[in-house]
Amino acid sequence: MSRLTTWVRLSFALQRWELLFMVGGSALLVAGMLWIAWQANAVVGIDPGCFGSDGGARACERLVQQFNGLYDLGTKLLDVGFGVPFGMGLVLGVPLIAREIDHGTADMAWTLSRSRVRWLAPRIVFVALVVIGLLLVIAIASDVVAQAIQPGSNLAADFTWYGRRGGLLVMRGLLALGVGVAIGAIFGRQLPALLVAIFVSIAIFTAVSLGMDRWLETDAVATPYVVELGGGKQLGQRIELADGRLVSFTELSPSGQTNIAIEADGMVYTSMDENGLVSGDPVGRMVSLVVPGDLYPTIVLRESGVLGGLALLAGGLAFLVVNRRRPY
Amino acid sequence: MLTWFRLTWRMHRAELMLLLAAAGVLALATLWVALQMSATRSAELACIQEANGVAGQVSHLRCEDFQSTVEILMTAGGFLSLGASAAPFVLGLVLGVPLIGGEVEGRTASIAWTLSRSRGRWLWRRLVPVVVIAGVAVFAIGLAGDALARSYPAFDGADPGFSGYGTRGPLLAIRAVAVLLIGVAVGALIGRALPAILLSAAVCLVVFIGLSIVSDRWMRAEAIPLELGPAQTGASQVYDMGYRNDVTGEIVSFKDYYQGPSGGPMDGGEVPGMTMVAYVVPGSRYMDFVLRESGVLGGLALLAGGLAFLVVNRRRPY
Repeated sequence: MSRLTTWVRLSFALQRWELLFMVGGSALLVAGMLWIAWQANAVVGIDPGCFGSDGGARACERLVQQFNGLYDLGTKLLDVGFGVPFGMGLVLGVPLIAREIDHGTADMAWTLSRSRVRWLAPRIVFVALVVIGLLLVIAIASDVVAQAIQPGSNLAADFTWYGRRGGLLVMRGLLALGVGVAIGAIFGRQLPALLVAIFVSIAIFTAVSLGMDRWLETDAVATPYVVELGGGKQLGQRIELADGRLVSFTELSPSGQTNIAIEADGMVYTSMDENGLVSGDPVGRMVSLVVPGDLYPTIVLRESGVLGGLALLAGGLAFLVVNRRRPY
Repeated sequence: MLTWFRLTWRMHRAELMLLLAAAGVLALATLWVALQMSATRSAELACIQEANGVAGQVSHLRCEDFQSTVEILMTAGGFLSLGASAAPFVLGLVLGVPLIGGEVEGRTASIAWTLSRSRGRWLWRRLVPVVVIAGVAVFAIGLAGDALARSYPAFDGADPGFSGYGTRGPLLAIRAVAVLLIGVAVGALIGRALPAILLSAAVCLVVFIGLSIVSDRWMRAEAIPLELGPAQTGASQVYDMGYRNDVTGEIVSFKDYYQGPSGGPMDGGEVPGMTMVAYVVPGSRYMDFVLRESGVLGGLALLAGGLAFLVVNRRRPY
């Protein structure tokens, strides 16, 4: 027990300011989210009918206006929640090794420790636990506020605010932490490492996001493009030919010089006249590629797996660098 | 003076190389997009003129290729403007905070302050090169941002007024200097680089939110009612809309207008003798508001700088 207490105390003392800042910031964010959720639930509770079929009634005007204000604030906080994992992971991860090298204390610490891995492991575990704990609370609060400002929806099967709520926040924070620790170990100086880690994180998350979108296409189903999404995620539009094949607009006309006409019912025709009216033969039907909302938990798990794997890779790189590099 | 810059370069080489490279890429990319936009727009207008005989008509089908290029350039311009609006904060904080915070944290302040004739002189020599470098780098981004804003199809080289406020012009350099001095002061107080960056970022957030609220109130107070046509030109800042009685000059809000004389909703349509107006700050007043914000930020920068000198003179070097 005393070893555990010493480990916690020492780990906290090493990054006291950053940890206090993160705990304080997270507490403010969670408090804000819960307050908005409480207010939104209270407004909806006054007259639930105003947020259903009677939404347009004059008597509901004030309530709807009040709710819209809360909705705007709620989405802003969800946007902040999107950025928090990156900030938290990098601010806590970069100085973990970089500060020791920057200050010239790594030399002594690595010499005194039985092995560099044994020196690094408890430090990473402590910070990872803090990141998981704080982001888990933010993830739950973000789900609560999202549900409150989107009453009547089943957000457990809905892609609305994907990546701005729920467990993905935790995995993103862990990846940012791994990237921060690894780059801090490579550069050995806090501020330059922080700048590089920001650039690298943006590049990694953009690549992951694009890759996941391509992967999602395998789960997408073609639905008439006028149909409501119902919590699904739209990936784009295609033309369904008479033989059932799905083609993109570019595939339909590789030169890009299309003059096709699309009717309100989604039917696509080969050409239109100068007034924009249909003048050719039918080609097919325009459809939307949609990932059904039911797949939301599966997709979140899948992306969490990818992010977790990358976080482990980054952590492994940090151990490798610490084992091999000079302590200055 | 050259020695000051050489020493600054050696002390902050990694940060300066990264930040100046990023600032250079951002400025050059912005300038390139602006030049491409101007060239594409000229070609598009020439194409339309050739196709319709009169420039400014609805795009002819064969000129639509230019339109898609303009859209791509505008998207790129949007991202670059975002970078430009963040540049003063990134450069200011990363260069300002470690100036004193880094020395105290690295335990080198003790030697430096003992060897220097006075702490004030030491700080002055450290501060001037960093302020100049950050100011010039961000000023270059601001100039490129100006060129980009002017190149957008809505202006075609004319004065963009309030469009792109905070993403272009000398205001960016003033913001960078203010943020940098806030960072220096917080770094001196905290004496540790990374926590000071977090705290400085929070202070800047509060300062700039406060400034935007004050600026918004100034603009609202000075907005004038203009007919919808003139109000839409010159990149004016539009605040509210209403209807003006052409005889009495009285202006009524949309709500009152649509409620009608009986208090019930009107059945649509225009009332004769009433003209729709918008409360706007004309684009020609852009510079007035830039000067006001610069004045406030300049005052804040002086205060923060003064605080930094005071702290350096009084605090322990560890």
